[in-house]
Amino acid sequence: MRITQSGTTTLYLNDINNARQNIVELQTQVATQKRVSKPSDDPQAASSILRLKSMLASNTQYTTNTNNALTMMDTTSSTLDSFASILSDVKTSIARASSSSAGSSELSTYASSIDQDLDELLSLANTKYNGKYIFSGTNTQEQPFTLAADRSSVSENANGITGSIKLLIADGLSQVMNLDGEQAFEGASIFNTLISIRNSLSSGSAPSTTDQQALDDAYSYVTGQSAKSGMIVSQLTNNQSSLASQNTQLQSMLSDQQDTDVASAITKEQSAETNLEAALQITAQTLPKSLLTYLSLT
Amino acid sequence: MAGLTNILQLSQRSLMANQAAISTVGHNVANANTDGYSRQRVNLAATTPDQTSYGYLGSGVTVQSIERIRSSFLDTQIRSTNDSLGKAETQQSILSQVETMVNEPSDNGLSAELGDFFNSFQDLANSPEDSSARNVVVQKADLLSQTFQQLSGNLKSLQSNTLSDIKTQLTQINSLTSEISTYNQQIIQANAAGGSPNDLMDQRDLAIQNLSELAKVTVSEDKQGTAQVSIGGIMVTSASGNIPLSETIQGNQVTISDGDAQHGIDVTSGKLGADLEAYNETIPNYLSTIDSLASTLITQVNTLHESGYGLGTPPSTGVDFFTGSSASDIAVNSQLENNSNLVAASKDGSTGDNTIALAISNLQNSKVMNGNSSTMGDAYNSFVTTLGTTIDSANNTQSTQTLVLQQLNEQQSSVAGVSTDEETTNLIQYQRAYQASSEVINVVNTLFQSILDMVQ
Repeated sequence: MRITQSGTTTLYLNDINNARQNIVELQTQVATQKRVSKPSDDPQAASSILRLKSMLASNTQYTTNTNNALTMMDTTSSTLDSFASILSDVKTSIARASSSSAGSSELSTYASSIDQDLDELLSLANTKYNGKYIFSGTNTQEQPFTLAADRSSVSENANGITGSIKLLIADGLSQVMNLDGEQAFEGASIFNTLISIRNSLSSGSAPSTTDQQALDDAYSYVTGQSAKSGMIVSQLTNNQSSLASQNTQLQSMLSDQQDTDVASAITKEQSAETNLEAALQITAQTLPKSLLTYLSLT
Repeated sequence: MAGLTNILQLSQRSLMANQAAISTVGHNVANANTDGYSRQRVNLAATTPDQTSYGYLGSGVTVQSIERIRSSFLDTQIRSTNDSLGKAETQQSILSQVETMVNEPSDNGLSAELGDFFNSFQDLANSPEDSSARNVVVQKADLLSQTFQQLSGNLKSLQSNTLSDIKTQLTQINSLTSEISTYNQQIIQANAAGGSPNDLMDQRDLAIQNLSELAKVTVSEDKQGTAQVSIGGIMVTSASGNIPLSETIQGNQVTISDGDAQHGIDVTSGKLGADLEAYNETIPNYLSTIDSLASTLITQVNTLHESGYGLGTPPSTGVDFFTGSSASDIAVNSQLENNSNLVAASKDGSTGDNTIALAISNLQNSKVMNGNSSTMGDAYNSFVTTLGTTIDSANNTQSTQTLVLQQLNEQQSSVAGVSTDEETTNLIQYQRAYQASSEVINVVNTLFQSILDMVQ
């Protein structure tokens, strides 16, 4: 094969150019720490990266949702606990009041104590958390239970106290984050039962067995709901930790697809530099040589 | 019987032949770095000998021809590599621009913004009675709409840039074919006068080679030496001159013809082929993908949003979330921009209900694209992947074809290139021959002198 100067010049230039290009690519990978910075770097990886990133964003959102639902249900659960414990006190005092020996003055004392309990229970049922009435269903801006000015009855918000609020806590999995007034207390009847008991006591007679039965039922119902909300809390806590571990997993998968293996990139870069040096040296040594160097024509 | 005069003439011919050879060496060395130059060789031949009683006596040397040394087979291969390489390079440059516009994978590409938009509805679902969550929804939707509009606008301006590239390339093609025609005529004349117009042929070959980067060409040569160049089956240069090509725009399609509307030329390769493909197919496909993504988003979100209720007394309802119908005009309804409380989260008007906000955020996971077979995210994702794969394959073609072209050029340069070492060697050879012939004249001169001395 004939070798010509212009041919070898192009050849050397190409070699040097390739070596430099290789170095630039590797240096970019090391500098950005990203193996894939545009889709054409690795189309399959780019597709996975987009999917993983969107899964991560959802995961973060689900975590926010879960935390939000968790504080809400925590509040619900502890409120219901307090509610049940007051009801239990009321039950005890009524049991005492119903025992034969109590006189009418004693009964009216019980009546006024129940009246106070009523206020406390109402205030619990109208608990506001984070700007929302937690037991008012979806009408979160409206107070669910209102005591009449003459304290003769408790009414429910006319616009309704029902409606569950759901949040997404995982792909396709929605979770209720509230117990509405109907679910938590079966509406205003419990308060009206207490009012009726208070009225009997202040008029000097023992509470009716129907009222007592209703009170017992209400107590066990609220206790049940408190347990239910506790269960939701523990479900949410589980979800929280599984979201956290998913997050870790997704991050590591993303890193696998996207990040540069720095050690290997640097090693490759060093070997590419050696290549470049070799190419430069060979060019520098060979290119200036020609027959003319050794010849003097006369 | 060789007379002394004959020897003088013989030597003179030798001087002239070697002078021609040295001149060719000079020409070769001078053009060692000229693009498209083929080295030339002087073919020397012995002249007809004189018949004598003792046999044939040599009568010296003459220049038979000066030929250029070049492989036309390699030329054909270089041309066909040129058009694939030209296509790959242009594709690469157009698609890399699309890739830059798409800006993926990143935290502010369409994919991330689509996710942010849907997630902002989940934030709204967390506090449906809140107007600040609504502001965030509107803001994220603004960003998303802007990204759609930008992408669509950028793709459209890329498309119109491609059109002006097509026009520039046609101008180049026409100027090259006219150049080739001029060379054709000069070559025919030179051929008729006898002798091979080597340098003209080199220049014509270079012009054809440059043409082959723009479009796939086929070349044949007729008896007179005219190069007949065809593009897409239509002859663009012939003995009678060149036929200029022009473009016609019909609707969204550009076609190339030789001026006669019936002679549509199908250019699929070379830079022109790549630009035509981008203008007629690739970019419109990308545009329609993001348009259908945007229009699906608009209709799906609007349907849910209209049925829902915002804040206010009485709560607003029946309000569109987006206006527009494609990626180019998608925008957040200006009513919502002015009053974000119109953003609907509730299904029944109660302030704490978040059913609509949840349903809208759930669109993220609904298969609403491509005949209900994929989600919006999937559809976009596959668009990005296809884009990446296409660029990747153009990159591969580009680097392979570059290598092939390098090798072919190397081979051609090995045949046709000037080697200064070789020329130097030849120079010495011809120099010595010239010097020796001069010496022969010297000797003949002394012989003449001797004869004259004898007469004295």
